[in-house]
Amino acid sequence: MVFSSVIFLYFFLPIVMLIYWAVPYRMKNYVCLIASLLFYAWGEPVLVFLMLGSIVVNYFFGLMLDRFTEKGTRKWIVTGSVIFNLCFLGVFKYSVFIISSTNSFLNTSFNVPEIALPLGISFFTFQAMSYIFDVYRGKTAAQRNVFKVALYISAFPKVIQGPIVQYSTIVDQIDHRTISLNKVASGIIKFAIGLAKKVLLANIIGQITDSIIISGSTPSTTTAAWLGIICYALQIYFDFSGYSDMAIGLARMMGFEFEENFRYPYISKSVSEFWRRWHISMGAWFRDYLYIPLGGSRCSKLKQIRNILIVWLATGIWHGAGWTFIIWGLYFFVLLAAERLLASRLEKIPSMLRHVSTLLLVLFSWVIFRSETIVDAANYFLCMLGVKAGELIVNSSLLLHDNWLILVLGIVGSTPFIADFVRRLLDKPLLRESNNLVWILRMLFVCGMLCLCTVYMANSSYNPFIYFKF
Amino acid sequence: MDNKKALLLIVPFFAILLVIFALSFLDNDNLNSTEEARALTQFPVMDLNNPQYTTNNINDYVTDQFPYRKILLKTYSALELMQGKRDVRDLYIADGQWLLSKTYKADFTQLTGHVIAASHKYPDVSFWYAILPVKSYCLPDLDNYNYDTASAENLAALQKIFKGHQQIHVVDAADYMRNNFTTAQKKQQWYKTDYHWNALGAAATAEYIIDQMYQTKVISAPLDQTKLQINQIDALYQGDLNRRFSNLFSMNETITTVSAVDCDSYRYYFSADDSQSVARDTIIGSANDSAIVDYSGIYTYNIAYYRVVNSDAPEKKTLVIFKDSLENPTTDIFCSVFEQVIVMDARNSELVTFADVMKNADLVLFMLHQNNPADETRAYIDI
Repeated sequence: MVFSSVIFLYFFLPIVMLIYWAVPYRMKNYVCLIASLLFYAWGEPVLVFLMLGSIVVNYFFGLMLDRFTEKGTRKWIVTGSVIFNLCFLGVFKYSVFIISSTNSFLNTSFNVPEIALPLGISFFTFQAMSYIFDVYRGKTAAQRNVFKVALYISAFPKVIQGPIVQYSTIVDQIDHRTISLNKVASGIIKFAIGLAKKVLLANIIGQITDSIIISGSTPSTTTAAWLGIICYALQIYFDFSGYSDMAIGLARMMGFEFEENFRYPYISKSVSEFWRRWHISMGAWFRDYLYIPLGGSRCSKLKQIRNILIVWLATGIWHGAGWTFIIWGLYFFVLLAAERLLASRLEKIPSMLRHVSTLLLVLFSWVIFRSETIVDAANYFLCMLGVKAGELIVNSSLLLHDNWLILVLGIVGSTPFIADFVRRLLDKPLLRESNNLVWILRMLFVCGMLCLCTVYMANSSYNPFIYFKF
Repeated sequence: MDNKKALLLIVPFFAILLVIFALSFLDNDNLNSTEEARALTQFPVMDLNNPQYTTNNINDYVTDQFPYRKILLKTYSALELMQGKRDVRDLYIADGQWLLSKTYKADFTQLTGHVIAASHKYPDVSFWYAILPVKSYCLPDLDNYNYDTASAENLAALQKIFKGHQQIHVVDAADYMRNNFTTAQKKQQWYKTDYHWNALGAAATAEYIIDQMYQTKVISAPLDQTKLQINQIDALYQGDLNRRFSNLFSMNETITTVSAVDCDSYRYYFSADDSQSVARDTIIGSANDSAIVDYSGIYTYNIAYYRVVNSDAPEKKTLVIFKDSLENPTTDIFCSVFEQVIVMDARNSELVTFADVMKNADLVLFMLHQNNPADETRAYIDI
């Protein structure tokens, strides 16, 4: 089930929320858990049992960590849990890639298994690992109630596409959280913004992307290639940040508080700043559970570079089972390592130039990320650089004519301009003093967005979430 | 402290969700969407062996059966048009009022292979292949429209294939209709909001085909224009492409039909012999008095097989036409020339075999548009 679908919006959401609010406080976690399992099972009716298996195993690892106090034993337990979770990911996400790569490199003929990729496996597995790591580090006690572990890992706002919420940041909320009218209203606004980002921007811009970036073919003009990748950059931003906003909004309606996952990444002036603004929860996970344990930045330059390499190799692999994702990770390793080594010189470059160059570097990264094969990516690069044209006829002028408004909205919407404008507007004396008017304006905005999105949702079958496959 | 005013937002938001939720159960399910020309998903039968199939179908079902979805589709179209888009609902919009289908490169090798083989198998029959135009090819000079590159390629491909097969007379009606009329004249020949032409375009093409037959002496007399009359219908026109936009485009179009002056004396059959005689209005739409008419309501229907006999025709020959829907307005014109006209729509043909049809044929005329690889016709030509 996806948030931006009719079945979620008009069936699942009102029923679940009304029941959730109606039941006594002690029942709320159970309602949320049942809803979450139903939500996941709707998309993965069979593989939901796989997720449940992962939950139970990690629950027992947590209990074992609690039971054994000896450092060596605990290390073995946490190592066991890491091996289990990585094997879990390996089998269901990477085995096809590993075997087919082995076959093509070593000329072997191992049978490539047909294994379905469970929705959101990378997200819920990383959250399960977060639970184990936090218990191991003593940041929090092991959870004795398996249902609470299940709720943490499977909570429907974040189970499929994040944000990757760290256990220690939410454990208290699982036990005690407040649900207020303000919080619910703020959750609704956040959800409506996310829905609009997804349905009105990402989906529409995504159709332009899909008409230009097609596996196995390259656009016939440089203009089309640039248009395609700019559209993809906007699509993936609004798609993913829209989903994150919806997740944060839904969680807030139920009293949970998730951290922001995106902070206008396209205004960054360096690649490292970009990654502090893009998919923040994933960056935080790798930082807290991989980069810092490896020594982080508090070691020699050489080791720092090694740490960045490991983190970005892992980040690339996390995103997908394919060489393009590995290269994409290594691409960012090179950029971030270079930024680390040349930090003092880069600071002298004018701010505007740094911004433009960061944008270009990120756009290039999306070419690798979006391509299905390395050859596709290479051809697309050559087309962007005007070296080699492809065969895919794209009517760029028509696409621009028809979609200029949405593209302008997308570009403006990917900066803090609109949010700042609204903040300043709400600060005007008229609105500051008239609380009713503010709420009426908010209501009109939310209901307007809901109706507009419904028009597009009822009409269109185009509704893919890019990060689902991760 | 709780802000009760937050209810100003919470209540309307959930009210909308709940009202739609309730309406979903109260509203009757629809079977088809005329706007999208497709069947709508019905509530699925539970398949416990494949639960994902069931849940996916329920997703489609609730979207397809969304309450007042027709209004939402219309609103969507209106929003798209308000933005001045030229590519909406898989159609191009030119001059702000002309709806044009997208065109794609087609592979004609199978169809033409069968046609050529048939011409060898029936050497005594005169084979004609009229390449009918499509609207986007005929009207390249509409404002803001220059997106049809496939039609010219398809036309060239057809001409190339038939080159060297002299036994087949190829009539390039596409170039004739594109190059021999002014833009203003051509605009009079096509419906703005329909895929098809009106009787003016169809008649000009039919006259050209008959003239080509006369020039090559396959028939002995030219078309007698006095035997035909153009009629104008005073009604609103339901264009098939306008349906996709919930009729947001004007339905005021010049609606014309062409009929034979003496069509009352024609006899119509659904059979090769005289056993199944039918009335004229079973093959030709008679919605002339309706307030709103559409293409199938005023021209011949897409019937699998029908036969028209005109005993007074100047040409005592049998013409077999394999057609697509662009032929529909032209039947009377051919009937005014030939004693017997057999019209085959292979898309619907099941009862009569190709061999049976060919038994009495003197001429065979393929009337297919330039982008139509006519898979059904190809399959029907049983060689």
